[in-house]
Amino acid sequence: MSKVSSKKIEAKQIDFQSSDNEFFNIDVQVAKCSGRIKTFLEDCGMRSGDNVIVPLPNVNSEILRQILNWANYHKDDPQPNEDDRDEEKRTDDISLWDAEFLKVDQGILFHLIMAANYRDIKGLFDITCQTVANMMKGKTSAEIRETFNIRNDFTPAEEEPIGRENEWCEQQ
Amino acid sequence: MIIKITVSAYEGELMKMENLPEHCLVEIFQNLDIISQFETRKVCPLFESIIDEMWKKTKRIEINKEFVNECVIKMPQDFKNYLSIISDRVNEFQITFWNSTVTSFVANLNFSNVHSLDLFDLGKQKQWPLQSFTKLKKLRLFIPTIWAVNLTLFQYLTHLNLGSLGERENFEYIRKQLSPYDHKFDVNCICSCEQLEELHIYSTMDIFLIVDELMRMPNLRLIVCYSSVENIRSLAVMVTILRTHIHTFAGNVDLSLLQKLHNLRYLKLANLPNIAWDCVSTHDLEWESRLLKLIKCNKQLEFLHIIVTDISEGFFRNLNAVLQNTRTANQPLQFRCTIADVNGKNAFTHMDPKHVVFTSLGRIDDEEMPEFFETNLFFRIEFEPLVTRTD
Repeated sequence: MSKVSSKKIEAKQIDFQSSDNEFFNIDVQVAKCSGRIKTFLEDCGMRSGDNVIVPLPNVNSEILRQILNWANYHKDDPQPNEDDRDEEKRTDDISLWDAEFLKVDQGILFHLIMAANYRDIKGLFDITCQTVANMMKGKTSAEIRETFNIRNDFTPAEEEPIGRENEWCEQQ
Repeated sequence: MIIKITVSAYEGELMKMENLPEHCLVEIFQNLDIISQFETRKVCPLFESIIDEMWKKTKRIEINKEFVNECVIKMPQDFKNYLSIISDRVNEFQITFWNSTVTSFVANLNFSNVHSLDLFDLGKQKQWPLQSFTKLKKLRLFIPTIWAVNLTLFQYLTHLNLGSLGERENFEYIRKQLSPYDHKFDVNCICSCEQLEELHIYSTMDIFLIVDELMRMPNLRLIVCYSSVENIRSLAVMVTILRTHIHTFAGNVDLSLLQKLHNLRYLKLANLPNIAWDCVSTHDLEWESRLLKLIKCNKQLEFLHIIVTDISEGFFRNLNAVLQNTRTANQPLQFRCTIADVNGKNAFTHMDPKHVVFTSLGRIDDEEMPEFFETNLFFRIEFEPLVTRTD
């Protein structure tokens, strides 16, 4: 059944509704970059002529616009193979377009991660996580705290032994 | 109007890194190299616990030169934390480089789940803390020694065409003179791995001193030796002790060493010149008759593969006669003969395989020869443990 319905919905448009009630009319093919929306569309078995509106209460228009921008650019990418998902090599390679695309505010980057995670958009999830990791690489713990505005809530007692034991190591 | 809504919507929910779901943080942290993970762990208790959980899933650790220089020397305390968190989780451990910090940390931990350890010794360490690996099943030792260095030197001298200095006897002499300095690695530490099942030696290290202990290990069933002619007497002792327990033998050794074996089921032998300069013909009738004798004694032999540079026509006739008179098992012997034709002559013209019970003849082409030499297998024995476990 799902196979038949997925054929039916080809080359159609659907509407996304963001949390702040903006509507985005997009190609179904682009929408299907999200594993979750793909499943949803296949399960509900749309017929031609249906006017589908998908409400996305967790995603605001700013983030949704970004995601759709990304999905539109990547709509013709080969689908990731389920089997080699975990074995996939981790690389620092992010395409130029993606790197440019991800030159955004930290806050937006984290929202993109959340959305990509929740909507199961594998490609976007990978590159956003990779981008955050790249921002952390080569930094000390203090620099990481500063970069991401993270409070150091280790108690002094938790931190102290590290210094002491280090001395012991250096004496070795 | 639309833009106004967008901005206000975004401002309303400021997103911070700590607010990401844990599995998203895991995904991010998995993209970090180990040093960045060390640093990230010190950012806050949340990150510490996530990194710890990630580390606990570590199944394999490789400590190499870069790791020692970048992590161990610069961040010893973080390395110590890392090692103690993963110590009871990892299954495979590979060490290609270390310093005293690594060995002292390893010595104070118990890697109770490591079943496979690869150790590359650079000759610096005499005692290696193998007692920390009580459940070890597979130990592979790679110990580059003076001999390997000499071989390179020797080939270089030969290349320079320095007359007698490049001759083989001289090389053997130099090698013998240097060999006492060659064994810094104390083989006795192997004895602390009582659960050992496989021992692989890729070096000139001689296990003669611990052969008795090895033979008493209740689970040891495989010993493989590469390029280690020093272990000839160890092999002789093992063959004597294990005699009827050895069921598989593969190697390139003098057949007289094997004459005590009677329960072989699998036998793979090479009768090849070991080193390229030895270009004398190995068309060796004595070798053939020794092999036939061995087949005669091992009535249950199921598989035989020989790799030879040449073989006589008579061998096949005699083999057939031996098989007809001695086989106890009903199934025919699987026989494979590979002609490694170093001199380029066609050994197949003289052969009539129909005399043999079951034959498949193979041939190593000249291009494939170096591959065989590179594997440099000296011997491989598989056996039933001598001592049965008494719990």
